[in-house]
Amino acid sequence: METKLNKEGTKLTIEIAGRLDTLTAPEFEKEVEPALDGITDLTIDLKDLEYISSAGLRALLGLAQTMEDKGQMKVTNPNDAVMDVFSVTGFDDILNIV
Amino acid sequence: MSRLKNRKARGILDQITRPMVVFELIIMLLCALAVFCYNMKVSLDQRFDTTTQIAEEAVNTLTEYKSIDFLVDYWHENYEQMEFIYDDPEALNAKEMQFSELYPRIPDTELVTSEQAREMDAETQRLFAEICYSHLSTSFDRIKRSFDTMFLYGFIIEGDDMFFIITGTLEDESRISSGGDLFELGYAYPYSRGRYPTLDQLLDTGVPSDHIELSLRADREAVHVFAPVTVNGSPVMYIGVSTQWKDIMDYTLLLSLFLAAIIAVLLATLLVIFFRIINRIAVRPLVKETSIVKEYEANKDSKKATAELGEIRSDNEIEELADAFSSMLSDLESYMEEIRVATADKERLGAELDMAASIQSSQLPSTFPAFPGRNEFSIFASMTPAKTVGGDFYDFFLIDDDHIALVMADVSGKGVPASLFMMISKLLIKNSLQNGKSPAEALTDTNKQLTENNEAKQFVTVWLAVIEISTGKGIAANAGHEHPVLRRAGKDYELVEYKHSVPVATLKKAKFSEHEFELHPGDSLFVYTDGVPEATNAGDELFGNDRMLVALNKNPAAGPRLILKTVKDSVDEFVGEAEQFDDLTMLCFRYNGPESGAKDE
Repeated sequence: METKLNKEGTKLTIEIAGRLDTLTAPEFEKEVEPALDGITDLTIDLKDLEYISSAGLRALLGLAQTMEDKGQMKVTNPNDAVMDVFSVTGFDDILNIV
Repeated sequence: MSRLKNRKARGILDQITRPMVVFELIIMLLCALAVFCYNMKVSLDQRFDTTTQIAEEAVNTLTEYKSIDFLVDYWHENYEQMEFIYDDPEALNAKEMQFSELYPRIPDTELVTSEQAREMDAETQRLFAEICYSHLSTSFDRIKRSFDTMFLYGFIIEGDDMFFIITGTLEDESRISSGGDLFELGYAYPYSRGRYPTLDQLLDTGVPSDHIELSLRADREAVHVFAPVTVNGSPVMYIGVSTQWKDIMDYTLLLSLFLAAIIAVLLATLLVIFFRIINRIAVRPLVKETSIVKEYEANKDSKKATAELGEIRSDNEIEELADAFSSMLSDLESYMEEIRVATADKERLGAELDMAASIQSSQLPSTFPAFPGRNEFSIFASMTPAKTVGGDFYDFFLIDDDHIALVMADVSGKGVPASLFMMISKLLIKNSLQNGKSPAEALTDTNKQLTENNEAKQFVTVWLAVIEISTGKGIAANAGHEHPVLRRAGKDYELVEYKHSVPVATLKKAKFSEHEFELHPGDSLFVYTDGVPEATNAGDELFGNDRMLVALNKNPAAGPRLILKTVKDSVDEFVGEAEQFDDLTMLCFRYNGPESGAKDE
């Protein structure tokens, strides 16, 4: 898993590549959390995300919950496999997928 | 401890001693050499001067005789007819008497001129030459004796020979004619150039050398000085004087050695003083420091060590080291105290966590068979916790005589917060179901309760089902949990995939859907948490749903207990030595049918 953070003022784009699962989710959370200070517009770009597990879903949900109070968060470009996971787990209702 | 002391003390001094001793030896040798060379030079110059004086003395003695040129010629030509009187005053006296009778004109032989001598008759001339020779011989002996000379002789150069005219002789020496080795009048010694450079120079230029060049060859350990005896500016003969310098060398050598010894003693004394200072200001404080540290190591008494280190007063870096060490010990002491407190805290925390884990697992029904006497179904469940307290839980209970509830859930996160959240969730779900709520209603109730004050932003994925035992009809809800696995009687286990609701406690106004299903006798349900598909091996591979299905279908007809064991064994085999991050929680329910007499195996 690789994450790329792109910060522009209060706007942050996070690109996630590879697998987001039990092994990589804690690392992802550790990398992203400190960057959220003062962010009101968060975009999670999943175009290079190959696989997401429940741990990965938790990480995304954690971000969504954090952003609930601070501004908005949207998820972009999930591939079909990832989108299937979102819909099967009901996460498509929670996350703002565009 | 003492072994260390000695080794250290010897170390420093040893390291200093070796170069110092080498240095001392070099200094000593250089001093001795300098003294030797200087003294040799000065002494030899002195000896040259002395030797030159002897030669001058001899020349003066000869030139006192006004007829010296005549005498030299006469001695040279007539030595075979001459009678030599050495050291015989009476015989000499007789000859002198005889001469004064024959030649009464001039009583003093020295004053006779060459012209006068040539005019003498042959007999008088011979007497005159003999007397003069005797006198001069005695003078030469005296000069040689009083200056402690090695050789003193007079000679003329005849062709390639040194023709000896006169030689000074001491009492313990003998002339060749008396069986000795001192050349005397009439002896011709073949002379080759180069043997005496000073003589070569004198013969070539007529001027004696004013310095000497040393030759260390054994037969010439002497200073050779040559001087001409001149009459009217032309040389009539030459004087050769040799004085030994071996004595100078012996003396100088002795002096140098003595001086070297004195220097050695001085330097050694200096070294000893130096060592004592080093010992006092460095080695002893260091040894003391070492023993203090060793003692501290043994008894950890930092107060004593600090006090003792404070006593080290060497007024140099070692004292600084002691001070630094002392403050380090104080720091160490406080760090250790901090660590003690932290460790105690950690232990207490660990104990509490262990207790939390055991409370958590005691919440899960773990007595099997769970419902003795109920043969319509069999059920088995297990949770294998990972290292920390996790948030997995399962539950099953009879709502009434004909309805059984099955719950499989996974709280996000780990540790005590997850475990507390799990207990609340479990309780809320059970309460709702026991109050007659449907699965979706139960999840809605629970969600409402949990989202009311969910500071920790936790959520829980839940699969739950209520089954009517008499008919096998069931209602299930899935709030973001893993897909359940169903096996129809006689077939394989297969994942049942459908769209799930969101996990519980994520959204306040989340809606939960439920669906109906029907079990027939022999059907089995297998539910689990992500600990199963996400079990990881050393190569970071996930166990995955496919491997899970393979494990389930190894022996699909087996009872719930055996099914769980098979899956667990498969996971264990796959994981190998890798550390597990997540709990491994599974539940298997087999519906035997209302009429079944089959026992829970």
